[in-house]
Amino acid sequence: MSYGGFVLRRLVTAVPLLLAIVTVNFALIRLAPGDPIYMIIGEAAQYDDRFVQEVRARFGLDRPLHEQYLSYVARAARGDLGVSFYFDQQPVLGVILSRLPQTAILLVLGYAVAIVAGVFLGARAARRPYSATDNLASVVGLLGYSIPSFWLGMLLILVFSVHLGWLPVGGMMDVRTPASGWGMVLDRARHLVLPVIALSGFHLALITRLTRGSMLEVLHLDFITAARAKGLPERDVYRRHALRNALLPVVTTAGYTVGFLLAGSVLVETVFAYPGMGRLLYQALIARDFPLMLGVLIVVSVTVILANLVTDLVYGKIDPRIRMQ
Amino acid sequence: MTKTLWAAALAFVVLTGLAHEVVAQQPKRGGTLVAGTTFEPRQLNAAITTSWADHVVGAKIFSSLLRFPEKGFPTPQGDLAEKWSVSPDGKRLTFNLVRNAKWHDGKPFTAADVKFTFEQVLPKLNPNRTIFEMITKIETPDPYTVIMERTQPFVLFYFDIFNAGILPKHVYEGTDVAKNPANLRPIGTGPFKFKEWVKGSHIELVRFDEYFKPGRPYLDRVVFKFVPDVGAAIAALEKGEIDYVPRWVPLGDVARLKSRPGIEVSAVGGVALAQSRWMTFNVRDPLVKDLRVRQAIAHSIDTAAVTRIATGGQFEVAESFLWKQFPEYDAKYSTTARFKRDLAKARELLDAAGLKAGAGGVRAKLELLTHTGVGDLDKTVEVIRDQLREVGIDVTVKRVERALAFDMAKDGKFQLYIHSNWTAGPDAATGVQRFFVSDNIGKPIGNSGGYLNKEVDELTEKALGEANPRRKKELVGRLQEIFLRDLPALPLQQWVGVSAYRSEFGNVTTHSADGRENFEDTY
Repeated sequence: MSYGGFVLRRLVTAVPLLLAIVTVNFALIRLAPGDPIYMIIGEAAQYDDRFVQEVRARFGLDRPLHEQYLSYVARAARGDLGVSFYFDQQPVLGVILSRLPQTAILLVLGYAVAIVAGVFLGARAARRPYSATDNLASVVGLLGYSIPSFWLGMLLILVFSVHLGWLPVGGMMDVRTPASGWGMVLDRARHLVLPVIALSGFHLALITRLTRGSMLEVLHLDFITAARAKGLPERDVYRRHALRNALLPVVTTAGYTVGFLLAGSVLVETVFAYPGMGRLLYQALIARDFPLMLGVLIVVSVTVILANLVTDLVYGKIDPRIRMQ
Repeated sequence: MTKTLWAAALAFVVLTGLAHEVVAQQPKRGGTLVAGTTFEPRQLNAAITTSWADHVVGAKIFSSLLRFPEKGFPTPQGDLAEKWSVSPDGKRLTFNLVRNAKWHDGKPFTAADVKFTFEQVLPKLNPNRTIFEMITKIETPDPYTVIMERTQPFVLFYFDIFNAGILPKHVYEGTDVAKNPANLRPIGTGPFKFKEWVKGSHIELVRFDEYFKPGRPYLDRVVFKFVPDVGAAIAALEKGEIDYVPRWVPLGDVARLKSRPGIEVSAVGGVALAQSRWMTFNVRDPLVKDLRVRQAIAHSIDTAAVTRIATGGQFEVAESFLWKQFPEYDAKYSTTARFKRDLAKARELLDAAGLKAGAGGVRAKLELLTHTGVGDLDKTVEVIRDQLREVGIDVTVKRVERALAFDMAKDGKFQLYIHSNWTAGPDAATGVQRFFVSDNIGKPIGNSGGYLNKEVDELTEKALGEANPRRKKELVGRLQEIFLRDLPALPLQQWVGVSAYRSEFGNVTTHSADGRENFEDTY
């Protein structure tokens, strides 16, 4: 079967999956207790009944739940994710799109660091098991694996921003003296360093350990011995024979990583005051902003579905034994 | 993220204090102030909101007729109104407006803008619109005079006038005000004009050169940076990335920040809203409805000790339902004096209520509803639980998320309830009454304890309409006497928002509603 057909079929099967995601999340969000009216009107206000009714009607909260659900699904199918409760009636899609680029940059960088550095370190450690390098990689890996991302973020802020003063505490740019041109790029990059480390820490550790384990396993297989017996240079044995085979489980994990990175961005973006989608979800949650929460969850689900699709494709490329079926 | 985690993270890192040179405190022109706020505003139209996040930014862009500096509270200061006067019967208010005010788009400001805002916007879209609905007539005999009339005296109206930012008629007339794009790119008459809102990151305001007060403001730019985690905001303040953290400095950080050179800590700016923390009793509950049980609880709690332990002495003890700073406050109605800690008496009262000590000395089991997210509230609740245990009242703490706590309280699903802080100002009658009048039973953020007293309803009605300060004090006093007798709630603490700013700046916290200064004289 062709690549195109495979992709198309996977995309079509994603539709009922998305509908299920919307339905489950809609139900979960609405079943959770707490009324958004307090955040919309504010705590200092006098709650006169007529006003509360008017506000409920303005946001469609006065209609029966099943009606709200059906109209939501109908509109969402046309790409209209409704209006935000918290961000005074602004379209949800617009609010999300304004945050998406920041999260995309953070995610891509975090992903790249985790995969590239993880594979490099893992392969490196596997070369001489139980050497000093390997032990160091193991300890660092274990730490990275066990420190929660937000805690790592706090430590990074305290060490590198407050104490050493090398990098900014948070935000995405210097708002006091905004730079332009290359200065702006540099400024944005400086603001990304710590969040990327905090976000990728766990996955970097995971992939390092996975690559190491997988490499050690592969290096003991017969075909490696055969390759060495053929007189291939050790470099080629490592790169073309061992690593390529050792990477298969790593690719599977890397596919799931996208979803976990997105989840991690909620905490990391909040700690670093970084204006991305993760923090938006946190804000929406606190404010009981139902449409915004659902909107972010849909965008996240689509991203994860696409990431899994890409993983399958990459898997097929690396391992020709896998056929697209 | 919790305060504790930050403290623990801090313990990991050795901090060296950097010596900062304190700059001479003379107002000077120029400069940028970066404020870090935990909440991003919903929108910026200052006439259709009561949200703190909206007002903190909106107050710099929009002017009101009157302002309320902390100094001299509760006497207002003129803003867009140069002078104002009240008719002898209190039902007619006349404002003489400044003549040189301009909108940020260059159009002149006139009485027509005030009339439009008070007729077309406030009584329709402001969450406290009932107050504005009571205005029966607004006249503008000339472009710089506004006369408002009501059938009842305007006694409690001044602060609401401050709450109402005046909108430009030429921008809003004939549009759907709630959805007007100007709500996100506002045009006001205030000292700073809107420049840019980078969603999720910051809002930038720049000096309005044609502001109607000559020579003001001093600052060139004001930037509001949104920092959801207050611990991160404090770190940014210490590093100098942020200059000002309004209202939400955690009490645990206060001592450290105070000792740090280059940073000023200020608790100025809470009087008008008079945030109070009290314990609400659900008087419909079979146990709590017995007055003797409520009295026993009051006699078991040492509010001074609770406040000292839980807030490190940052909050004052609430000695009555009114803030001590209010003109109607009278030590005669002090709850702390009436209900001194007296465990023997508490036990006696519990005995009389039929709650004898059972196994392990336990006389009664009660559930205390509270909400998450406020460190000093957690501690307050814990100390109270310990103190009540001493008389055999076994308290289970039910700690839920804020929005859920509101819902449970509204439906009366609790026995005891402590909310972090209620807005109990700006007036002795308006602020406190909504929590105790029978009309507000079952309403959100209303009379959650279900306290029902006709006399309270009548006295409140009278106090709300009373223009004479002496008679009003008397009426409010009678209300307090009834509260002392019936004990529908027990006052605990006067909650204050603590702000911190870098000492290069001056006149930062000046307003009686913290965070809502307009920065016109900040430098």
